Amino acid sequence: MNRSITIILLCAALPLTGCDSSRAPSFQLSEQSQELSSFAQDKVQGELTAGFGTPAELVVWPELVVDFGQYGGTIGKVGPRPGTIRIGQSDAEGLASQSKLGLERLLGDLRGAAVVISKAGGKSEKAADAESADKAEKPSADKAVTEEVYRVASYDAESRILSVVNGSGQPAQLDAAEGDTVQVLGAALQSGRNLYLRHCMHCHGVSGDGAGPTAQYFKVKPRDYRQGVIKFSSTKASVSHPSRDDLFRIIKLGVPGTYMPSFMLLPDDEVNLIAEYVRWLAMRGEMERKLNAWLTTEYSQEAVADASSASEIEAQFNSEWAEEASGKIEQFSGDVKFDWEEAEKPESVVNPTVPRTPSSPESIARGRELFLSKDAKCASCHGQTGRGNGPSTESYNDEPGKPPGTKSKVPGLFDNWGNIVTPRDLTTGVFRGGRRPIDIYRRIHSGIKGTPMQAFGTTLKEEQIWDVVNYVLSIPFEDKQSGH
Amino acid sequence: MRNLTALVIVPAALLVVIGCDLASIDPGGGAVSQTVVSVRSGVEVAAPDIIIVPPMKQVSGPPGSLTGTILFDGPKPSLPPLVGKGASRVDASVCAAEGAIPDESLIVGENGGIANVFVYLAKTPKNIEFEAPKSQPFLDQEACIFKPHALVVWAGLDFELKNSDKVAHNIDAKPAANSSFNDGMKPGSSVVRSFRNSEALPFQSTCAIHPWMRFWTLVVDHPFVAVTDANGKFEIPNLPPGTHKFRVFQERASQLERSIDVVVESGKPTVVEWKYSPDKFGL
Repeated sequence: MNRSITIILLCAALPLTGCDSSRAPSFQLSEQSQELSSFAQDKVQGELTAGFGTPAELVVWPELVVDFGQYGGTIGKVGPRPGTIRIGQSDAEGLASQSKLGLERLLGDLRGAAVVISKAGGKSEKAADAESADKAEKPSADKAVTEEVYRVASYDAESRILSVVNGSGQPAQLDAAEGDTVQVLGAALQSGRNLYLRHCMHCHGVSGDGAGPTAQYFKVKPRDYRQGVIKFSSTKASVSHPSRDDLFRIIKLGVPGTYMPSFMLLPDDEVNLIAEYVRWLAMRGEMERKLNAWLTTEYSQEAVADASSASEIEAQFNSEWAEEASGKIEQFSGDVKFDWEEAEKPESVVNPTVPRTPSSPESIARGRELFLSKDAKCASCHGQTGRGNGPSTESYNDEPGKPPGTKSKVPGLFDNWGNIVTPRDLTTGVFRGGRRPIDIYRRIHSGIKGTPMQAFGTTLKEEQIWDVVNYVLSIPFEDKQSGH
Repeated sequence: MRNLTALVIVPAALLVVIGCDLASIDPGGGAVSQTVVSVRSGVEVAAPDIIIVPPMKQVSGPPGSLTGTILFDGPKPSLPPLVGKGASRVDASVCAAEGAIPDESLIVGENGGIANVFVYLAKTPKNIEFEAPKSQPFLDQEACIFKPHALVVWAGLDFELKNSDKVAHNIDAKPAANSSFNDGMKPGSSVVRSFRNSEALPFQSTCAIHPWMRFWTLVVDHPFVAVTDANGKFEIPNLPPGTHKFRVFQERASQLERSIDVVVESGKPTVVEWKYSPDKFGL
């Protein structure tokens, strides 16, 4: 009798503990957004969902400089079944990757990716352009038809048959004819998302906020991408963002001396897909940050509480949003686009015009002199012997996120994410951004973005930076002198 | 006995398998769950439910101006210096060598006026014409103090950051609507920077080498802005007649006024005197 009760209890308890639907991934609003009043928060959330979607329903926003993964082809024949298309006129033709990322391997699984069909004779190359042009030409009565979402149900590369479903998962009633262009969008984004959730999310978080479930156990916090700033980049100090190559390198090699492992075992195309998804997550965070910078002064919960009439301020917000939001969103996304495009330009990368001074006792001595000098003052943070224990690490600084003048209870330097950062102990020979001489050169030239490590490119000559590089690389091997 | 154990294990195992969908037992939190993609083709924002007449009335006539004083409503506070004369642990030959480094977070003049307060139109006016200035102010560093302490620059225009000191400094700027930067500056050097967007509030910049150093920058895209002088006085000329919304910012108090209505009459200065109690400044 007792046993049967145990059985029943066990069986009843298992379904409850075994499943937890709250673990479905979702994009969270930043702490700053959560301080907005509810009406402003709703609009910010609405805009972010419109521009980026959710982890289950991703949005391709062509305005962003992201390689979303695009395949293109021409319709050879509509049919044979409803909602299917045969791509290409000849056997050799089929959906072809139009993306710079190596996407050939994804062709087998395009499920869920967006399908855009443009009428033959459309001049525009980009699917989205074609689609919006399409929209503008059609009378508004047709709106419901043009807004229908088509998605890939399956694609068979051998038979070249693309099955298309509508938003509700039923075979789509396609308004298509032979010769029309088909674009499949978002395959790379989907794939990047899946790889990110598998390899990165547990530290960096679903939203890229650096607060995944594992992050709480780390002293060195995983990067929060939402400022668009990555510490170890090859770009100049005047360029705030990293290049695709920088992200690739960090994922591939890891960040030595931190919890960030090397993903050397992932194939290059998978690393590229992750890097692209990280860029996209960063852009989402940047849009959120910019919307906040616009709204927080007047429409934070605090501001609404201070206002004489809450309904009046809500009405003011509604009219301001209606009047200015589309312009602001255009400006902000333009800003984000500019920053990421700038980072990709070859001239944005720090490339010394002077070859490295060969490491010699003389060069090392000059580097050491600069390290200790009033011109560079490296020692004020890194210490006179390079142990990362300079006087600045003992100073009490303002606590980030608190009213100015509120001193932190512990001494130390803070980064832009509000974490205490320790200047690198150069005696260990472990360099987070890479140990090649050019890596050290770039660290000195552009600084480490988002940290107190400043850019010296404008104040030190190239030869001087090479001398400092030679000195820094010699520190782990130098004879112990007094002071060590 | 054996049968019973089997009876427990089999349904339990079955439940674990069939009770949960793949997404919730996947360690990646949904890495293998199916996704769909939509396309955003343009930015559309819903029309407002309520239309409000813009608060600024168009009144013709020659412009007026706003002059005023920001006052501290209490006895003149005496904040201890940040670094006493000769007490600097860093670069003692330059920093605080000739005199103590004062706490500039609240400077109250003899008349009770508060210096370095930003007074500016809260929003860029849409129906006023104005021109961008020809030149921009510059920032300098002398004896380990940023000068000026409160800086106003235009969005999109270059301005210069100088270091006239005999020691290196750095300028670590953390704006809200623009990208942050951190420039190292050796003695006698200068850097040219610009901000793309205007900022709703001034932001602080610091020097990591000399942790007491800080200054505040407001990035504007209109000329209707002033910083109070040592006696807390300010003047904003060329204001078209009408009602304007001003914001008042002081670094210790943050926003003294989020938005305060000021009526400007044609051809006349509007004189105001705004007084704030010490508790606003954390005193």
